[in-house]
Amino acid sequence: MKNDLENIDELFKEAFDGFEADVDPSVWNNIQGSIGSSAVSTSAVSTSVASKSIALKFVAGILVLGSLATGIYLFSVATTPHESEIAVAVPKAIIAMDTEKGSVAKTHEIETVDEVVVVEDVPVEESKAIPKEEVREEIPAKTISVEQQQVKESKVEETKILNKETVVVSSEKENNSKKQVVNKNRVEQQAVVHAADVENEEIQEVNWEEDALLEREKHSASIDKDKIPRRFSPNGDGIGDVISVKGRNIKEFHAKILNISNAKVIFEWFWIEGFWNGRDMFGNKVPEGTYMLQVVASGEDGVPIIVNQSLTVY
Amino acid sequence: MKINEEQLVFRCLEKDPLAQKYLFEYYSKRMMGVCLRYSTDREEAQEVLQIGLIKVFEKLEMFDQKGSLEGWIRKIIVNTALDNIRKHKKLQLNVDIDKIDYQLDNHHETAIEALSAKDLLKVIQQMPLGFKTVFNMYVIEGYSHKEIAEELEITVGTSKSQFSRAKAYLRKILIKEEITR
Repeated sequence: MKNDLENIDELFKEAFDGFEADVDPSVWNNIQGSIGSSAVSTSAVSTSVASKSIALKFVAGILVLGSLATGIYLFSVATTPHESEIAVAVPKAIIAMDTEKGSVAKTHEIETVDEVVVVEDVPVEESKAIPKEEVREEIPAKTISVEQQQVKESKVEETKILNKETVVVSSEKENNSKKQVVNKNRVEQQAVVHAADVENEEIQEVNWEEDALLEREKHSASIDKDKIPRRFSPNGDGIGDVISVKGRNIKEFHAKILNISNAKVIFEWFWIEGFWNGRDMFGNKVPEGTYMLQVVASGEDGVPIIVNQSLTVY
Repeated sequence: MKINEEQLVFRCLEKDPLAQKYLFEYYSKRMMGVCLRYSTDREEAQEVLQIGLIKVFEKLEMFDQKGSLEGWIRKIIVNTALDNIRKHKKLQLNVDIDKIDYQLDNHHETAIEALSAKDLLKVIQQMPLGFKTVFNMYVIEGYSHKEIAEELEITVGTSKSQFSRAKAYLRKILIKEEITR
């Protein structure tokens, strides 16, 4: 085997060709916290933190714009730590928020603006970015400030604005960078729900109210396993076009659709309100066949619930 | 699923969280493999990976679509690993290869071909830093000695001698541990 040692570089070269190693999930969390729109709080990446927190202060000003949109969506987001922090800041709003959560979110009512502003003002004032009066003036007029050119340019397409503003709001909580992105996701997904699937919408609305009630009493998560369909046909006919997972008191949530043959992730979502529409991450329809749905969720008690079941797309 | 790089990059630039996650999922394991080779342990490798991938996202608009995305990412990761070495460590260029106290797990009695990347990784990680860095860059990343010299601020001669000594070191270890017979 001496010869092998003569070619020691070849040996190593071959061995490391395409070499892969597992990465802890924390790495993604940290990266996600740093690359999301503006908030950063990652310990390992100190270089960009300083500049970005300055940016945050500017961004705080823009927060106002999001009040209309974001407020609506903040309500729609099932109680997350982030949301409850806001709620604590404005105790008088808690009840209203919970009870109206479902309907407000679903109907896009503009009348909710005032109430929203009240909630959101608090973080704004705390960060000394914008006086309340200014907030009130700007919203009805729907003025879009110049700093946020992107928003202006994005054809004032509602979904897009919502995305960005939600991020801005959450960036107030600097330590919440992960949640922030999750919020963003929720917004995106929900916007699709409105447009795509009215039937599904109604179901969700009911469940959310249920959730709100139950959440005050319990601490461990539950998933309605039996209600997860085993088959669905994402053909756009409005019936069973999406698949979602229902549950209560979910604090952490992660669902994946896996290719059954190679266990590759085809699609995933990180919030209980998310869903799958039978397309991969790039919007391409997946072929008919059987896939694996994998859900890991936990409540405040941190006890994970795991669901693994097959799912046939036809 | 076939990956459409152009679309992926575009969506990452739009800060689409799904695309960002996808990019991470798709490349992070291989890049972790790269980082491990330049590090002494997993923690260090993960730190390098994290910083490197953040750079990837931040610099993504500079990716010109000419080469492969993987090659571009890999370059950033390797540079990050080298930064880490330059910043935090001395290259230990004068290690005596006779003083090798490295122990490989003794359960390998197979021929050298059977050595897995995992085993070789252990060997590489334990190598003196100068050997390790030069060896990695030259053999696996394909840098020339001139490029290595520039990157590490050493002379071409040093790079060459580090490389041959690294090979001698590896040979010694592999023989010592009777991995080969």
